[in-house]
Amino acid sequence: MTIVAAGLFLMATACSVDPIGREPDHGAAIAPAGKIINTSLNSEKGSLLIRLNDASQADAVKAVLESSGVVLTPLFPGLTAATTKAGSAENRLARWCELKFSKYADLDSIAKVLSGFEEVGKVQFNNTYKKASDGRSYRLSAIPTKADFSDFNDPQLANQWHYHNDGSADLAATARRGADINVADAWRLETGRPDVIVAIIDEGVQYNHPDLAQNMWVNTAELNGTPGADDDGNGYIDDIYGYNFVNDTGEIGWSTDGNSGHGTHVAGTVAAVNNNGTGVCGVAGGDGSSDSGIRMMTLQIFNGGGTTNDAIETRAIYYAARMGASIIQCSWGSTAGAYQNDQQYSSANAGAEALEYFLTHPNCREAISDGNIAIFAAGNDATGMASYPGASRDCISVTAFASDNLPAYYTNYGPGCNIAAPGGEYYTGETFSEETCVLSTMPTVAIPSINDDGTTSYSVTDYGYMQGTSMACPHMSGVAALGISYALDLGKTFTRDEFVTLLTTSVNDINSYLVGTKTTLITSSSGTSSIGNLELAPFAGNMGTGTIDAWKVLMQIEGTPCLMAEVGKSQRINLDSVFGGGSEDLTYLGVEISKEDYDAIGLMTEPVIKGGQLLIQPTIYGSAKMTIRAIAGGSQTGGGANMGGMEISKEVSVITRGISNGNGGWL
Amino acid sequence: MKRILYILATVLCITAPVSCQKTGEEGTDISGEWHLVDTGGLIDGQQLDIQVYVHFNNGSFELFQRLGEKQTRWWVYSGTYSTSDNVLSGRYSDGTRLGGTSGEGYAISLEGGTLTLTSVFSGEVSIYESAEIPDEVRENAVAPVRSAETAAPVPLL
Repeated sequence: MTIVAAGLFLMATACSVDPIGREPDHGAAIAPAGKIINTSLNSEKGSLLIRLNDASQADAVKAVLESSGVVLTPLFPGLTAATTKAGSAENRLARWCELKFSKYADLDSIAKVLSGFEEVGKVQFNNTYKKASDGRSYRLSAIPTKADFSDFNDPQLANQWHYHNDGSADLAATARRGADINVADAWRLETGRPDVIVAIIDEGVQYNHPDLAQNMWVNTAELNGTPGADDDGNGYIDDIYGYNFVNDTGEIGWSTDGNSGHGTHVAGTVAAVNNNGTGVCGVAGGDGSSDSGIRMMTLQIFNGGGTTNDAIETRAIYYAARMGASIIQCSWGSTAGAYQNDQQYSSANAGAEALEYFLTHPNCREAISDGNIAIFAAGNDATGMASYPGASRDCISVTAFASDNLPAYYTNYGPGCNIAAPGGEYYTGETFSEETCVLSTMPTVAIPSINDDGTTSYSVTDYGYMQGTSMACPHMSGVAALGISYALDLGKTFTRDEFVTLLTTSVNDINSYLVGTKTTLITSSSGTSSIGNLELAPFAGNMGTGTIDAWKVLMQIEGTPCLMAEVGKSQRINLDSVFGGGSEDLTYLGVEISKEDYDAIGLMTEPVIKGGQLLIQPTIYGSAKMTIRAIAGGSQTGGGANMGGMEISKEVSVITRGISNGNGGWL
Repeated sequence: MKRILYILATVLCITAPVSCQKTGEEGTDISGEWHLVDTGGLIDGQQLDIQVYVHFNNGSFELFQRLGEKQTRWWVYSGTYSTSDNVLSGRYSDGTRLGGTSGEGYAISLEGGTLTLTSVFSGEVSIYESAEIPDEVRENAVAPVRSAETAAPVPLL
């Protein structure tokens, strides 16, 4: 190990030393030993991640590496062999370490050397990720008016078409009524509870924004503790509203050069304070009273533009799991195509392990008994697959539609995409307007950024419009937070799988609209953009299960209504009430029924799915339960060597009667 | 002249069935609020929570139902009805006919506080008892559609 470390010293400080007499293989996915799990393409300079075979080896390896001038730190602060129980999930995370080198170091060569350490099980280049937004913000110029669809008094709610779209031509000539998340009705039942925490993993959120402050999560131990001390002993100092993982400080930043307001905008969609006579509304922003609205922690993984990386986002996800978040809101990811399947992404990847930890460590057991919810933007590459990590089977990946209820020109679609939400679109039909983007909060100071031509531009202040799957994603996070809140209200508990199924089937149909073309911004294969006709057919069946509907989420939390079938007749039963408005376009995996239930309604044959409907032939009065399995998003399930949707299942009760009229009414 | 008026009235009834149905109580008067207490043993024989209230009122009806396990929400339907020839027929507000896809309706039997509706199509018997619909049912009920339902587009050929 000493000899290897000596070579490592040279490579860590120089830029092109070849320890084995061959050029590093930049394109190789797996080193001969199988320990190097990805490539250096699109990875962070000067950093590598390693996974030790055993967390107890960290001190020994650290000593050797430090003798070579290499800095080794635990990837998850506070997790060591000494602080974790052998075999526990935390102990497994404690095996991960980050190594830091000169930014000129030849990481490919170093990775190969590291793979020669017997204590090292995996070597990972530090993957980078980008925000799912172009970062441009557009000024709010609309005159404040009282929204006619809600009692809330926020003066800009009427301009948030993404919550309630009446199809007015004033918005866009092609605007369509109902191209929204249908949240106004849902607010009559639920506006969010403070015991539901959403982690905004993004640029820093301006936690003192007048329209956000009330709904920010506050770590009271740190707020009331000693500045500069880790008052709650969680390994982080002064993490009052969250943590800045970029600069490793409790000081959250949102206004330094190059920031875009992205985090503050996303947060406003999730839970800007409602009914406070100020600005805009958030999906789960409460009713104006201090004990309403969900709470948001800001976990900063971007700062000053550019990208983030696995070391940073991994720590943020673990922090969210540990500090009580039941939803992580992640409007970022890889470039579509950087990973082609779940196996490629997740095989011993630190980010995937942190995600698994978050997904399986429930922070709101009363509502979701066995896990948490991870929601990601599908990405803005206009490509037929979702970006990772969101494309992973167990994450919800959100595509974007515009005010015309059609896909936004930039959205990714296809494998890995699970559901659609409003992302806004500057160019919709013949309308080029900021008002067809998503309206939310912006930092109260203008943030400068340098353009490609060297000029400086500034973000808009207080409130503004943005577009992207970054903007669609927080709609879904807000709706999920409303759902958890409502489950708590009703005292209902779901498994994680049940809750994800519930979310992904609370949708309205989008596929029936995907015919012909729409006029919007088209980017040619040469990279030039112009207004043109976007073919809609490629999006059919590829936007996820449908467009999210907040009202339907709450109704499904109340319970899935029974289906009714007619005795003595072979019939097809529409499944919209069970699987959402796009039920006939879902891919179904099968129907399962017990012998007892089969006999209870005298079935002539096994129930099956035909044409997206339940085909059934009961012969006697009664009721029976059956389980229907389907895929949320696409035609194949993800996981392993696949990129695809998540398997979902619903148990439904079927009542067999002498009549059935198709609309569910008893008479 | 009387014959002409009769024909005219008949034509008007045929061409404007909704307005005819609104008269509602040409036959047996079933006005009032009713609670479903039995349907072919479904209610007693199964584990399901089947709760149905209906309010017939001068040609219009409101139907409140809660069907299934662990359901907390009442769904409300509305529509119009008539009771011509002692048969209850009509339509939901979405155009769906009462009494199944055949729309043959229900034969009415009214005795005191008990209303028995027998499906003309299938013979299914439902027994209702006169009962005031609880306020909590009315207040808790929602229509089974979203308020901002998007209209399905017509594909262009």
